[in-house]
Amino acid sequence: MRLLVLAEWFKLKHDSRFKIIALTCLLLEGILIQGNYIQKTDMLLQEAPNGYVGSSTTFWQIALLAAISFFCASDFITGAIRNPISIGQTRVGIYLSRLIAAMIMTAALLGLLALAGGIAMFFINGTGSESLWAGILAWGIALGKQIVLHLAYPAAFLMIAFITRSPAMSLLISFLFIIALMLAPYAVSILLPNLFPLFVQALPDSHIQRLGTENENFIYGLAVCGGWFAVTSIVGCALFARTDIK
Amino acid sequence: MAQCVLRATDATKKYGQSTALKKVNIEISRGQIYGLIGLNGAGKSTFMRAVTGLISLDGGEIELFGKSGAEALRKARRKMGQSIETPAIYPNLTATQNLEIQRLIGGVPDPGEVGRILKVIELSDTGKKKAKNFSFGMKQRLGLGIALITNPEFLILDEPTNGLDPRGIIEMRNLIRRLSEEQGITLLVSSHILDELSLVATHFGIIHKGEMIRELGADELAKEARQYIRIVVDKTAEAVAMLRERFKVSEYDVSGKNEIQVFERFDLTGEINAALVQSGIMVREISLSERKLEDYFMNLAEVRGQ
Repeated sequence: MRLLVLAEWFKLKHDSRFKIIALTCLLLEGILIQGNYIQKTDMLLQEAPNGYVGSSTTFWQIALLAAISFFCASDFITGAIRNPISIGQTRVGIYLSRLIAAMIMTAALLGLLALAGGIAMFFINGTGSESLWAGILAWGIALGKQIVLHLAYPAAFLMIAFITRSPAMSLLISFLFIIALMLAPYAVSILLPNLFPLFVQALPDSHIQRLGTENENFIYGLAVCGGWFAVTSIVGCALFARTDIK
Repeated sequence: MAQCVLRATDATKKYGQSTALKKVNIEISRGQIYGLIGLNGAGKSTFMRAVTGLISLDGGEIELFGKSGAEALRKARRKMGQSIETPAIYPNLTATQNLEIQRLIGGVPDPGEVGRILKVIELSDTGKKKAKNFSFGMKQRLGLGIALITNPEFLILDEPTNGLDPRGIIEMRNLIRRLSEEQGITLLVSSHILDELSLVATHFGIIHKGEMIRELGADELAKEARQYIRIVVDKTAEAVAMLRERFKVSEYDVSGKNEIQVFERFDLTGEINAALVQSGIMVREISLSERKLEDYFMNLAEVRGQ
């Protein structure tokens, strides 16, 4: 397992695709920050400097699903997934090493965007009434919470990548998954209004969006996102362990 | 007796209604280069995938280095390398980086192994060139390098010469020979071209429609597929006696009621004909035949398919 994680880390360091996706994200983040600055929106003023961690959840999720789709699902196309299996590595170990790589990608992408956003907000607004170190600490805690709750997504995207075994299909299905998560609350509110409050509580995004707000319950959010993480990881791992590799 | 590296007993694999492997039995001993021959779709890759743990069998058993059972097999695979169908490489990484990843996965402690393997597969000079920009032959060699980096005792190569130009084929063949002779690696090599495999393999298994239809050694194959004089006569016993006494023929087969196959004295075909006629034996047909390996293989496959 340790060896597999080391290999994944080596790939992440040397594969230019992840760097390209991260830099593209950074560029888009810069454009969003600039847009907010020009328009002087409330969001900019309210969320800066701490808690400003990526301007758009959906935009960030698309970047992540692209990274995971290209990075993990392509191993099935190139056949590279055969290499660890045929020298006796366990499939559970292989899946978990990919999951750790996906989590690292999540933390790296989110951290990068947050850092860019945080620095920009600092230069635009300063730290307000807070001291610099208090601001950095608050920003760090907010980012940590964001990353932990967001880990539900790489787990889901990885499961999709391992089921579809094709970067293009993984990209498409993961994108539809995000859209479905966005639209599902509207559908439930119309079709099953009584279930709506409960349904919304079961979605990771509901808790991620509440981060930094007054009605935040981080532990509850952790339980919900942890549940998504566990279920998708177990399903993905179990399917991978039991199916044939072409 | 040489150690058995791979033993497959009644290996069976089904995909829906079709059976990809039908009770295949194979035994490969240490030091052998086992050529698995079959047409496309015969079951060669399926069998190799089963051995490497990529697919599970629906019946039968596989034993590697004397170990069977899921967990023991998995551990035994640490002594194995493979390159099945397309070379399993990371196209966005260099040859060195590809080998380094497999070195890490395989737990090979010496980083110097990467350089050594690069020399073996003759890719030392590729520098920062990414694998996606390699020629097909270079990709094949890199795939082989990935299989070799863990110093395997048993190597599985699926159609290693597929898509290579004539020079690449010769290089791959020489490499396979070197791995066997210099490093003592046991090899299972598949191809749909018997002529090609006959130049390196020491043992052969012919697989057709998922069934192992023939297993034979290199000597047997040479004997079965070699040149011969085909003589059709009316008095077989007398003709054989004359061939033995007068022409000192010792290697021959009597096939059917009237056909004799003589595996020597090819330069005396005319004299044999004349002598038989002079002895009052009616020669209905006499010809010099050559059963090419491919014909031999196709004949076997067709007979089985009927």
